[in-house]
Amino acid sequence: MIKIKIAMGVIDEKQYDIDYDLIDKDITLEDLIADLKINKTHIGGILLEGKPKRLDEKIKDNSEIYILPLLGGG
Amino acid sequence: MDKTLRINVRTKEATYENTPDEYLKTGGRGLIAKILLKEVKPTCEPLGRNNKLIFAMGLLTGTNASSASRVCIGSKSPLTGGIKESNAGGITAMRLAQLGLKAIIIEDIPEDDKWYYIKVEKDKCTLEPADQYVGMGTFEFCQEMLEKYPDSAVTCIGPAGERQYSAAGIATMDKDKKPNRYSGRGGLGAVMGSKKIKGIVVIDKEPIKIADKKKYKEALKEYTSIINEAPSTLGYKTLGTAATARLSNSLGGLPVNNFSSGEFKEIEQISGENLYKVIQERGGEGKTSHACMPGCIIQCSNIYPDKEGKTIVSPLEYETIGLLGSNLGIADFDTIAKMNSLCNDIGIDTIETGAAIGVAMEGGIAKFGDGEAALRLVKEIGEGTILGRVLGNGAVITGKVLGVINVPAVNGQAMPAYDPRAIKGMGVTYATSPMGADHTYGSTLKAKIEQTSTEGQAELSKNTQKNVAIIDSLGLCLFASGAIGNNHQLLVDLINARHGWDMDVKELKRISEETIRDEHRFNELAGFSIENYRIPEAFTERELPNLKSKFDVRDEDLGQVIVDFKN
Repeated sequence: MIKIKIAMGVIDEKQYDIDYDLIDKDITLEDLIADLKINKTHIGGILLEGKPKRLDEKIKDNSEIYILPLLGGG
Repeated sequence: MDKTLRINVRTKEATYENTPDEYLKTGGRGLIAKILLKEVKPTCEPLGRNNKLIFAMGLLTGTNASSASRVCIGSKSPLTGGIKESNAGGITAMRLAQLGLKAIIIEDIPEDDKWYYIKVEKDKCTLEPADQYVGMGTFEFCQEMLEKYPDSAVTCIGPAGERQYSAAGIATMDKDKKPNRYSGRGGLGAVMGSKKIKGIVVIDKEPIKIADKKKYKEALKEYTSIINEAPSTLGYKTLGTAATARLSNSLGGLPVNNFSSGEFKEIEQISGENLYKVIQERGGEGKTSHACMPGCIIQCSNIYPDKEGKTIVSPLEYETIGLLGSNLGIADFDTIAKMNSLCNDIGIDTIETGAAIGVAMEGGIAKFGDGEAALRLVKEIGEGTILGRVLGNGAVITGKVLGVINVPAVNGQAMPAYDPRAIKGMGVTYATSPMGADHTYGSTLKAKIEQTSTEGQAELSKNTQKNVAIIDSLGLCLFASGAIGNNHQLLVDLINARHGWDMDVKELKRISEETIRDEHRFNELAGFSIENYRIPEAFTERELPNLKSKFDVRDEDLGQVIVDFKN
């Protein structure tokens, strides 16, 4: 089981907390967001155990994931 | 409180004036627009005696509200020929507001060849000789000032401003006393150089006066809590603005090789995630999160170190990564950071510089992807070679000199790192902003809209522009506004408590509308017509290959944005 927090603004104006059953051990962050049907262009970044990770990062069981809303440039 | 300091660089006189009533209930960008419209002839030569350089404090500047003390600097722009305001973080505005200053107006040009710096103390301002500092980079100048005045806050120009390059910016010290924060856009550094002012040095510190401390405390508590809990704050704190590289690339609008493509094969190397990883691995002085001004909760800045852990530059941000990175075909953070650091020291805008070098690469001066050549070109800007001077005057001049017609600029100013053919709302903002291509005038990047569709983009841009005009008049950072959203009542509560006013949200919106109207009026009087507010043919005729898209928002829709703002 992995814990996923989807920030307000990613899907809609609500925050979502999801417990996700990790059946496929080779799943990446990119696979996960595809499975959750989240539009990639609505994501500002993904934190795995509090650290930003690339989309090809593999997910381990019992992980905590935070999907962040869009950020702007500076 | 709320005085205006007027400095005449010809007579060397500095006088404190009561700020006129009509200026009191605006600040920052809004105040700059009002002063320019009233005091500066819009057709004046930007580097001549009739232009003025204005530093304006926002309505919340100087308080301990997070991210509320950006320095707003404005003038008629030598780059665009229109009105210009460019704001940055750092510590100078906070200190000036705390000394009771609402604005500084620097006027005229000197009759002699002597350089000065402006020394601001409590209720006292003098022009101090600065000939010995001419030619110094911003870092050395700031160091010299710190040795003389250890607790000072400094805003200054480098050699680019001294030479009056149209892309010269004005640097402001961050809270670590390094001149890393930039009012980079529009050539404001050249205006400062034309007045032979090397820097402004703020010596004294005072506590800010809060009219209603109880109400202020209550509003501040809510404001702080909202920013603290906003998911975007965590995002900026970990990934910083570099997170935008992946998004722009996903949208197909990351500038690559002089905006000839919107997708970068080596995106992973310049992503926010990789930036975080490299900084973490190198350690030393590197920091993935860093505040540019005291009290900032968001801390989107960073310190990028070399392999030995020594600082190369702070911060390394998205626009720079886009323009000096992918736009030049360069995917190496070290090279981008070195160019960024050089630009900061020379005192030149990284966006304009990256765009100019991109144009130069298309013109055959160097090959895309050649980091060493790009670094050499930035050095030439600092050295003042003929080619360096061409580049230092921006992308449009570079295009003209080299016969390149694909120039990513609107009204003289280079586009930031969003291709308007992929992110069309941003294109509307570039086209209709009175400041040339400026993403901070109304970024539509985060809107949940089909970014390549033409529908709804003009309205989206217009609404974003209105919101930004509020934020810019408060001295607030756009990232704080992202957390606060449309909670304008909270901002009004903070303003009222700070100043003892009874302003309402309607009045805040009036400030926004007036600001934009004043800016367009200035440009109109400077000779701009509705037909000037367009995206160049390089983007309306030339397809972005990865999306097969052109910028095709209708001219009538662009024109309507201007008409709506003027009325």
